[in-house]
Amino acid sequence: MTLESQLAALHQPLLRFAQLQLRHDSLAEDAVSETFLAILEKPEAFEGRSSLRTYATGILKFKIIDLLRKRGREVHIEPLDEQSMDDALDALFASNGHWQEPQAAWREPERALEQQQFFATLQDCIDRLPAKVARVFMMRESLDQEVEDICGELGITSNNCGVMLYRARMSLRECLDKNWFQVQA
Amino acid sequence: MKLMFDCREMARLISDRHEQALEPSARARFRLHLVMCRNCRTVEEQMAFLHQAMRRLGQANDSEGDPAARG
Repeated sequence: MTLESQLAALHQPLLRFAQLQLRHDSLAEDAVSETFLAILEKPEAFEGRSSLRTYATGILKFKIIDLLRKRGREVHIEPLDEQSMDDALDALFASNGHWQEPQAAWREPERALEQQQFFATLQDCIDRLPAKVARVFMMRESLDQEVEDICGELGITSNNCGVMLYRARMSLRECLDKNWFQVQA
Repeated sequence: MKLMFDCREMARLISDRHEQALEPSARARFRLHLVMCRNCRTVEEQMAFLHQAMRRLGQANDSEGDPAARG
């Protein structure tokens, strides 16, 4: 197979990946185009070291991080969304700091990982997060960046970063609980 | 120093541990709370699961096809 046809086969999966991270169709298309261009301009850099898919995804991640960084400076915080998220978080705890309600364990969570529909639900839950919280969470959990790098790029303190990751995780937990695990039970 | 963290503090620490290890001074109290509190154990498991699910979601694009197809 030629490099071109291999890249063509990767177009859709990489585009989905970029859309997931960027949530912006034309930016995602740009990131994938730039990735392909980088590979076509320097095919010798690849030299079959890993699978082409892994190699391309690696480059794409850098392009996405780059775009997120640029966009991070433009996007404003949405105080309303974050406020309602905070309220929901606060409501989980009683004034003495204990859980308001018992936290039910999920039944056979590993089985969810085998179901495509579960990942669609997870994606929906991520999409509902306030944009800035979602961005920090994706940079951390999906692009596997270090917190110092994320904070640096977005110009926020590392404590603030930690708060956002905490909110994201708590909110996703709730969302998966309501929209997947309770429904499955 | 309080003897125990409350559940609100624990939830934040459980999340923070995905970024960095706990302060040495907090470790024993963190474990103590988990030993005594089933709710926080559940939350810890669920955040770990979330992390696993996110890895799967990302990995699917590094290798083959949809996340669910990987089993």
